[in-house]
Amino acid sequence: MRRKYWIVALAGVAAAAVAAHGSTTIGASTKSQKLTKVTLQLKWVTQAQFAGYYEAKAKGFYKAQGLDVTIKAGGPNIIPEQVVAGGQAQFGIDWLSSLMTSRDQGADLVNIAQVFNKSGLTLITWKDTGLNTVKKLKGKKVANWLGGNEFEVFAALSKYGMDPAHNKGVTIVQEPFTMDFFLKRQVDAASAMTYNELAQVLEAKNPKTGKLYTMKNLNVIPMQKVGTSMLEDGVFVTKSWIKSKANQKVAKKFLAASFRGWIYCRDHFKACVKTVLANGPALPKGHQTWQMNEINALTWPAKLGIGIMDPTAYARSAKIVKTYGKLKKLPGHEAYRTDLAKAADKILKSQHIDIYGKKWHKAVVHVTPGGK
Amino acid sequence: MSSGPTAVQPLPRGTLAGRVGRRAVDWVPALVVLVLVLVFWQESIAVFHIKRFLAPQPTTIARTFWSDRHELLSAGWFTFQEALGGFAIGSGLAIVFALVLARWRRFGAALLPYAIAGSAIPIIAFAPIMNAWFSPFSKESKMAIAAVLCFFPVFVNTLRGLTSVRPTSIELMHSYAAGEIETFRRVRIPTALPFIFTALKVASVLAMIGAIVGEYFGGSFNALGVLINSRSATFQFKEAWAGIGVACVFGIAFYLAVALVERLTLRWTPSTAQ
Repeated sequence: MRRKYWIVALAGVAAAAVAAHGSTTIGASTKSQKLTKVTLQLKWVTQAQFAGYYEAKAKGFYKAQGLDVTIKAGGPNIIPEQVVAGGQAQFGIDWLSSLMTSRDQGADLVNIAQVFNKSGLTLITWKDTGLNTVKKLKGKKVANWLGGNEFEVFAALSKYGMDPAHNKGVTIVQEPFTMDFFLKRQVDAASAMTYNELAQVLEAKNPKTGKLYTMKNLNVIPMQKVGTSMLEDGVFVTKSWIKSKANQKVAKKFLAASFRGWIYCRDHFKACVKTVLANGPALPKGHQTWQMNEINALTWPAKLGIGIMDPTAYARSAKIVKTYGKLKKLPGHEAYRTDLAKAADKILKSQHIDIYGKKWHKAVVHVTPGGK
Repeated sequence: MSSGPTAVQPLPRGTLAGRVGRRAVDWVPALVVLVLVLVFWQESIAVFHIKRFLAPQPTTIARTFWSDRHELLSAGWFTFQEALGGFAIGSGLAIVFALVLARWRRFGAALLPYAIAGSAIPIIAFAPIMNAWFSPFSKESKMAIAAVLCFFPVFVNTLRGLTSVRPTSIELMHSYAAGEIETFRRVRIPTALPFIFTALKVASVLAMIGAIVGEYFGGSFNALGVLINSRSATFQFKEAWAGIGVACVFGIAFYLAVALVERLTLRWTPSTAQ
């Protein structure tokens, strides 16, 4: 029995020592830096779609603003709105449409910056099918990821008399996360982001010729051209969190640093690809290079300055989501605020950083087999 | 055993009304629990200020169920067809396999460990592979997943049933110079039937689960798994809950149907007779 007491006492002393040691080191680090800890929840897995945030962290832009940002990658069953509403992250990235549907269900979220000002969503078909317009998709099988990503496509199909929400006039199927089904021609048309799925198809070999597929093999119908495009990736927070003045300050700094990351990626896109690769994306270098270039095309040029919501595009998006997301009411101006993004842009402007990117030109990127 | 199962005296059955009455009394504790849980759920959301969109109240779900019933039931029916197909394929193959292995024991001894190990396949990892083999948009890919899920319990139970015959019964059949087929028909299969039905009841529920899991990885727009997944992604939790409710209704109905067939088939066994 005696022995046991000794062991317990010893363990107690050891634990106390460890605790004391730990607390002193923590104390030291907070003294020297005093960084505010915040978490960012991404919409999808690590890839160039989020390069600006990774770059801002890698280049120390967040740190320079006094922030310690943890970037959480997303995935098929991670809904950023749910993570942010649940308080596990302060900032989230998702399409504007998803924000609108979750707000309609009572989640108190608000968009504070609209980073992408154009839609990257397209419908693709094989050239030899002759299906080169949305109208021709009547009675055909069309794939989309659903879960809030379907509204642009549904609006496009409805524009030409189909009723995708009730599977009438067109057959909708849920798209898996790889493009095999399209290569195997199991559907007539598939949804494809210019920066991701389109590249995945082009990175695959045509078994007949042994060479990669090219744009000549495909019909690409961008939602931008159909007129049913919506705003996609933007930054959101909860309304209750952003109420406090202190948090507004944090958000302003977060946006300024994130925008600086995006601006850096505009001007040094290959360096950003490297940063993304260092964060371990699922798909390799060639794919991320293509993606970075296409993502820049969705952000730049930014007519109003990066991150500022365009009210016309917002109104169009709201109308589409209201109809196809069966919302109770049309999302109005209460779903977003531009003051924080404007303040962030002002900070950057005062540092003589170009927030518009009017001179930006898309680079020419060649796809690589398997995206390597 | 010479006169087979008929030698067992049927248990006293009583009147239909009596049986139903006794049954109803048996259900009282379960019903009380159900009501208590629903009341607690309903009230706790208001009392603890749980966000309504995260955990909708049972009455809200019931209302959604009613207003969306056409869409929900058509999705449920679609998925049920996949489940039924998978159940038939999986259970059918399992019974055939078990019959073969019971007849040729060496085979059985060699394969049984793998059949048991095979039941450890994580179906969620298997689903995308089935979607790749067949088209992710076809009913066949979901049937394949449901079939794999149904196969193992039915196979293992059937084999156990076929081989757990009393040796004296076999000896008796031998003494009558009964052939192999006759022995199977008169002794082994009747002995195995309760085992098989137990497994089929388990499989009926698994089939529905398998079909829905498969649909989570891509499927038709009007399938239950796609509906539940898609609605919960857009915060439409009451619709998602209603979808889960439909899945349960179809799963339980399927279970009860199998149980009914069991009761009609196995009138002689004490566990099903009243």
